[in-house]
Parts: sequence; C-alpha cells; structure tokens
Amino acid sequence: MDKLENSPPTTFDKPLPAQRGAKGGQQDIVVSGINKIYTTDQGRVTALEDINLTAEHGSFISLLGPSGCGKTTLLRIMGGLLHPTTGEIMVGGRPLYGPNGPSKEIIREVGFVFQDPNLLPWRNIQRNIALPLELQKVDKTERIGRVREMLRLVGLDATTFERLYPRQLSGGMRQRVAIARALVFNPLMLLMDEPFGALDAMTRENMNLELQNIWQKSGKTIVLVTHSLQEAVFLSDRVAVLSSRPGRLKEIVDIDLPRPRTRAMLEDPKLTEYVGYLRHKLEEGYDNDGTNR
Amino acid sequence: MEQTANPAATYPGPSSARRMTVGRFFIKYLPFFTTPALLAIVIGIWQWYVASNPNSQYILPPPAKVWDRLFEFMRDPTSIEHVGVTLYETLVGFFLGSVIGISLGFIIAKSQILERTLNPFIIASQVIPKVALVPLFTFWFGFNPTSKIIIATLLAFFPLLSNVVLGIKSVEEGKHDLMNSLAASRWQRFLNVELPFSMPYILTGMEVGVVLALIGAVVGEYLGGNKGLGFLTVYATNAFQLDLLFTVIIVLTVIGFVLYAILAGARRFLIPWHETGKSARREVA
Repeated sequence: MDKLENSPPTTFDKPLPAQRGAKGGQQDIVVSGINKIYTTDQGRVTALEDINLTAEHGSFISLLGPSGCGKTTLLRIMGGLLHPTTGEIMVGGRPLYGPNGPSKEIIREVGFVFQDPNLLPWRNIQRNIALPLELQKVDKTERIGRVREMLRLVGLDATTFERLYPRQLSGGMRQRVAIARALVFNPLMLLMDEPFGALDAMTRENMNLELQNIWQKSGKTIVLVTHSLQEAVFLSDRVAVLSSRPGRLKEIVDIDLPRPRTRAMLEDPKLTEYVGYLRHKLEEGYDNDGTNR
Repeated sequence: MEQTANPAATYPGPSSARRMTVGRFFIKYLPFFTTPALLAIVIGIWQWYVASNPNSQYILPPPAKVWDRLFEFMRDPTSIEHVGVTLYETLVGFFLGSVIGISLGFIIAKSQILERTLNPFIIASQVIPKVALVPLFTFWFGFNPTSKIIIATLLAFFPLLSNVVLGIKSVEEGKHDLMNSLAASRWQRFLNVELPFSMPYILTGMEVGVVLALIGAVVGEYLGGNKGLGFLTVYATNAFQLDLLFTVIIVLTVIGFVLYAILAGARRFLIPWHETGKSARREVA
C-alpha cells in the first residue's frame, strides 16, 4: 500500500521534507496584517482580522476552523482571487497585490485546487491538464510531455486516461486531474480549498495518502483548507486554527509525527492526541448551544 | 494500489456504449414504425373523405393527384428555381441573423451598460409584428430577395441572441474562479470557457432560428414577391390549383425539416461532450 516505494521515478523527485527543512528556510508565502471587511446592507462585517502567517518552502500547512470562520476567504486572498481590505501577501518574495490588482505573473506562482474539480467537460483529461500551459503559450510537444509527467505524479496511467472525458471519471480521479492541472505549470506552491470534501470516507483516506505522496515527490509548499481534524493532523507540518467572527488566527500547532505517514498511523495515539487537542481548540470557537453564531 | 490498478475495468472508455436493453431499443426505434403508420392513416382518411364526397375535390385534391403533382413539380426547372430562391433567402437570412444574434449576444452578456442601453430596442424589434414591415421593405428594396432576407434575418436573430446571453450567464462561478486562478486574459476566458460552454445554447438558438428564417422568407414572398415558394402559394390559390398549393406546402415542410435535422445532427459532432449531443432525442421547438 505504501506508494512511495513502488511509484515510478519522476523528474519531480526532490529531497524529503526533513532534508528540505535543513536546507531551506525560504519563505514561499508571507501573509502579513490581512484584514477583510465586507460591506453589507446590515453594515460592515469583519471576515478576517489581522492574519499573519508564513509558509516555509516545502512545508505542508492546514487551515482549520469552524464553518464561516473565513478560512476559504483567506485562501482565496492568498491565491489572488480576492482582494484583501488591508494587508499584504508576498509570494516568493514579491507582492501578490499591486496597485492595479493582483499580478498575473505572481498568480502563476500559485496552483489552486477547488472543492469542485472544475474540469472542462468539453476537454479530455490530457487537454484539461494542459489548459494552464496553453494559456501560458507553452508549445505542444512540451505540453504533452508535462501532462504525462503530471499524470504519473498523481498516479493515473497516461495511456488509459489521456483520452477520457471528465464525465467518465470518479470523483476521486477528477480531483487527481485537478491537482495535476494545478501543478502542471510548476508553481511555487499549491493552495487547496477542501479538495476532498465531496468524497466518501474511504476515497478520502486514499486521497490523503496520495496527496502526501504527491507533496513529497513534487516538493511543493501546500496550504490546505479543511474541516476534517484528522485530515489536517495526518497531512500537515503545522495546523493553523482560526476562530470565528471575526476570523482570527488562534493558534498554530506543530504536528511532530514522522514522515511518511502511513495508514496505520491513523490509529496512533499521538495522532489521536493531536486530533483531540485541535477539537478542544475548535470547540472554544462555538457557543454552548453547539452553533457557531 | 487502490483505484489505479485496473481503471479500465471500472470506468468505461469512450467507445463502450451503455448496454442496450430491450426497452431502450424499443423506444429508440419506435418512431421508425409509428411515423409511417400514422402518415398512412392520415392519407387513408384523406383518400376516403375525397372518395365519399365527390364535390370536395374543389377544396381538397385527392392524395394521388398531389403525389403526381409533386413529381411534376420536381422535374420542372421553374419550380426548382422557386425552391432555390426561397432556400437562398432563408439561408442568407439565417446566416446574417446568426452572426448578428451571436455577436450581439456576447457583447450584451459581457457589458451591463450595453445590455441596459440596447434592451428596449431589442425588445421593440421583437414585439413589433414583423409582417407589418414587409410592405415597407418591399417598397424600399423592391420585389427582389433583399427585402425577404431582411425579414428572415430579423426573425432569426432573436432566439440566437437570447440563447447566447443565457449561455454566457450560465457559466458556473467555479469556472470563473479557475480561469482567475490561472491568470487568464478576457480573450482566453472567452475562447476556453464562455464560447464552448455556450455552444449547446447557440445550437438550440440556431434550431429555432433556421425555422423562423424560413417563415420570414416565405411570408416576405407571400406579401410582396414574384419568385419563391411563398409567391407560389399565392399563385396556386389564385389559380385554384389546390394540388400545387399542397405540393408547395409539402416541399416547405421537407425543407424546414431538413434544415432543422442538419442542425440537430450537428450537435453530435460539435458538442459530443454535452447531454444533448449524445442522443438524437430532441424536443421540437
């Protein structure tokens, strides 16, 4: 079951995180002083308040919080999809938001994976993954090679899948294709907005293992929004807990578990302990009646 | 290795069709039997009525006479010229209507200012009984095909325009998010998402538009022309040649049917990925 050992080599083979940590220290994304205020008919609503967060190169960070706490809003701001009211995002040392809105060049340093795979039904798998390269005017021969490389990375057989259409794939496979598409243009990092939220429990577990595998092989920094405590602990180096209304960064929890993490570790008492701690932290965000109003 | 082991076994490839059950087979080929049967019944009643009412031939020619006239019609170069004129007006009107409707639709869908500005005029162009404009166009452009082409265009453009606007506005928010996350330009977004997404809507608009263009051309000829099938209906009625009138009606029906069928068939080639492109089952507009 451990894919790390029998997976084919890719050009994405990079040192494992432990080694990378020793070498690295470079900040892929720096979030500083982010505020997001919405103006509605009822007045102003503060969605995010003074968020500061950094992600080191090659690290895996999860954003965890009660629903409506603004974690998706934060991720969209980090991906250049939503302008913050105040504050700054630096990607690879350069500002994401300039005076004329988000910089296209910097947005292309970030791969975004949505909860819905958002595949284009009129394109086959090959052309779906190649879309970002087409938009960046990469020539065809290179596109085909890069797409094959990505299919291998996400564990899909190129000869079987290249010519299929999205409707012929299961939910888990569609999400793999979406991940391949987000990585095909070789961005610095990957932002994922509850990518496995619509999958059944077993597929989700498999996809978590697969994602760890993809992360280790590609060496990308990943920021994952999730509401699954177990998923956050299992995958992350660090879990950032957000509180609700206004969304504030409550605590950042370092997850000190060995890598690669295996299915067996899901029952590891240490992992369970982390999950329990995070649950406790999240409960503080809810009122006594169990709602998060 | 979870799902990667043998995906082909679980997920059908593009070539493997769904299993054809007896029930589905029956439904699929049902029209091939019912259509000729129902036609035969109608013609039978028609024949029986004409035979039992000898005086009726002044108002209803017997089927055999219409059948003969139809063959005569198709061998006659003059009649074929009339068919050609009507087809020409229909197709040019449909083409112009499509170009205007589609481009105007895209512009309106993308610009709220233009939508608000142009809407009253577009609605006005639709609520006005276009037949009332025929004498005016005939007066301006004469008895030639130009006036008919304008009527056909005017009738055909609206379903295209409204379908394109609907198509563009139906693009899901997620697809826009995707294109934003890939830093796509407006033009790239149009080519890669909005245009292909609108194709099923455009084709539906075309199916309606082509039939309306035919109506426009025929009505134009009917009210002011000396050529074409619309003119021929007036001629046949005035000359008490009801068999010719019936023939013209049949020919017009066939033309409309063929034009519609071509566009309905185009779905399979243009949008095989879409639900409506997968089967020939279509609602008639």
